[in-house]
Amino acid sequence: MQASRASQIMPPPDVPPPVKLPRSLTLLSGLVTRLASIAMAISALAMLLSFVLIGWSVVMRYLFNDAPVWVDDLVGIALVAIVMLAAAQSLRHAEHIGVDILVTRLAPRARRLARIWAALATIAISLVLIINGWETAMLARTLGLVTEGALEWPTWMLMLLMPIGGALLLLAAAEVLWRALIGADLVQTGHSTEGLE
Amino acid sequence: MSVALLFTGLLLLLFTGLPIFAGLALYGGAALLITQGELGSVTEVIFGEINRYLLVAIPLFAFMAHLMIRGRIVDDLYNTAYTLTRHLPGGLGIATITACTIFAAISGSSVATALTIGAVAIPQMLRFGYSPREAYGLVAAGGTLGILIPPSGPMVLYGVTTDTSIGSLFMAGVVPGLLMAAVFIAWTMTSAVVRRTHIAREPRASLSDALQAIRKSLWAISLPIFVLGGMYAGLFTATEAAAAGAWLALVIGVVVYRTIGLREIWDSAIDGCKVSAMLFMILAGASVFGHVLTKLRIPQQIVETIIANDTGAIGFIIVMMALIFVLGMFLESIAIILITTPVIMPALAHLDINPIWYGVLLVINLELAQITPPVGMNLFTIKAITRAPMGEIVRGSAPYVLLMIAVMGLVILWPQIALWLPGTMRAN
Repeated sequence: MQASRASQIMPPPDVPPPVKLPRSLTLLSGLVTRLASIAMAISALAMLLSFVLIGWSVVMRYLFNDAPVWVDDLVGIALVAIVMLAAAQSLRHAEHIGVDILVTRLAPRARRLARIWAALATIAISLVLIINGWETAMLARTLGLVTEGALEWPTWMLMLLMPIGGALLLLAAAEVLWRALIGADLVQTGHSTEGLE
Repeated sequence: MSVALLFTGLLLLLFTGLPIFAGLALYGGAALLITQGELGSVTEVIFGEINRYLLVAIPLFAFMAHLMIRGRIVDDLYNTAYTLTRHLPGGLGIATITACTIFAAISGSSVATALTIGAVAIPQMLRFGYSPREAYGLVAAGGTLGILIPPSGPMVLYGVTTDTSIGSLFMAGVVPGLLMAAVFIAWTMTSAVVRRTHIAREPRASLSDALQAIRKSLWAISLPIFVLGGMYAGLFTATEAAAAGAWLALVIGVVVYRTIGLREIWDSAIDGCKVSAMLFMILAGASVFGHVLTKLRIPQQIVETIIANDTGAIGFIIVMMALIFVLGMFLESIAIILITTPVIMPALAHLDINPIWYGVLLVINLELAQITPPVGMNLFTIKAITRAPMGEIVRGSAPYVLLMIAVMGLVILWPQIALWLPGTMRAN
């Protein structure tokens, strides 16, 4: 269940010579770094909130026989926030799991093409998250849907997590793509990490 | 035929190296566009798939483990195990497996187990005359216990996917996990007696040394007892147990060890978020793919095939285990769980196969996946620690592959090895 040390345990990749980044890419990289860091910080706060709320819920149940029923719902929603806000940073740090057994055996040029392909695929998924997520949220708003369970929050507001996460992922994938196109390797494309293993 | 084509296409796509979440979503999305002409509300499907209270157990268990590691609460585990077993033949090997077993009950991660214990155990074993191959194999295999002995991330995911009690799954992993550890220890002792007599044995630790060693690791050992005991007694759900365990780890680190401050808490929370992002993005992709499978009635087709071929429960299990063993050589655990499990759930129900039993067999198979080349995360871990040739590590792990298959065979033949403990749970 621990996956943060992936970069330490994987065989070292072939590192190409450093490439000087164009100014526009440096600016994009700076922007993505800031946004992804902020999103990750919010994600961590949501994580700590879940930790506190569940602990509090257990205490309330056993000491006061009065477990707050809304905690389960809120923690589930917090998990969506954790995932969607942390996904971009994980992409930039090459922490999304991929099957790289063939790619690592390719010649440098072909490997670069594989990186470009991986970034393009991620961009496509990001666009789906943005467009489809936005449409779904707006439809929920029009219909006046609220969440099931104790909270009864407007669904559309929560559904906005999908396009927001998609937009962050899009920016990160765009940076990854740009770096792959010019042969820079400071941010790796998604490769194997341990996940739950 | 169409089922085989569908999965072959997915595997080929994944082998192009793109992130698994993107591969699953891309493939599923393309299939939706081809078969339905539109994506429908896929983001709603994804949202619903991630928005589950039970899944929060995974990042919270990761949070708990990181607090224990960052707080250096687990640092003395290996020395404690060594003090207690050093007089036995193969004492260092036994200590390694014992430390892996306890650490597995804290971390729930095979890689973390191999990484943490291996960094201490391998140099020690080499210094005492173990062959490198033997030391590498032992740690690689011992590390795999991380996902069989609870808590176990793959079990949480399997439980959520199949709507099976995670508490029961955890308990079902205990006896097979301890059996696996016992088999590894027996192999180590036998090897030491038969072939490794030149390895010097240390004198037995005095009672006071033994007690002192236990005292050093008492808090580390108390945590899994608290977490698993609470679940066994029906005091906590899996998610609550994860949160309660993290609270206990925090209190131990802050009050007893005084090694956990705000920095350690924050970094551990970030680690939990990273685990969530990696894992649940795959779940998001798999939910799109699973949506397509349902639309195409693939699970029903598989059930019809089983009925037509009259394989029977054991025949089906053996075929599935062989298939997952092959997949495990190339794919990582989460993808295997999320790709195969939803497809075969109706088949399990049709054949009256206990999903808890199947879940344990699946996890044992996923353990094998971590030490079978070419893609085996624990093999990579040992390589990263030692910089040893991969061939040496693979050869060292080979006997353990056979031992694990043997244990899997025992659990297939006697399901009660897995099912006895959950059957005695108070929650039942």
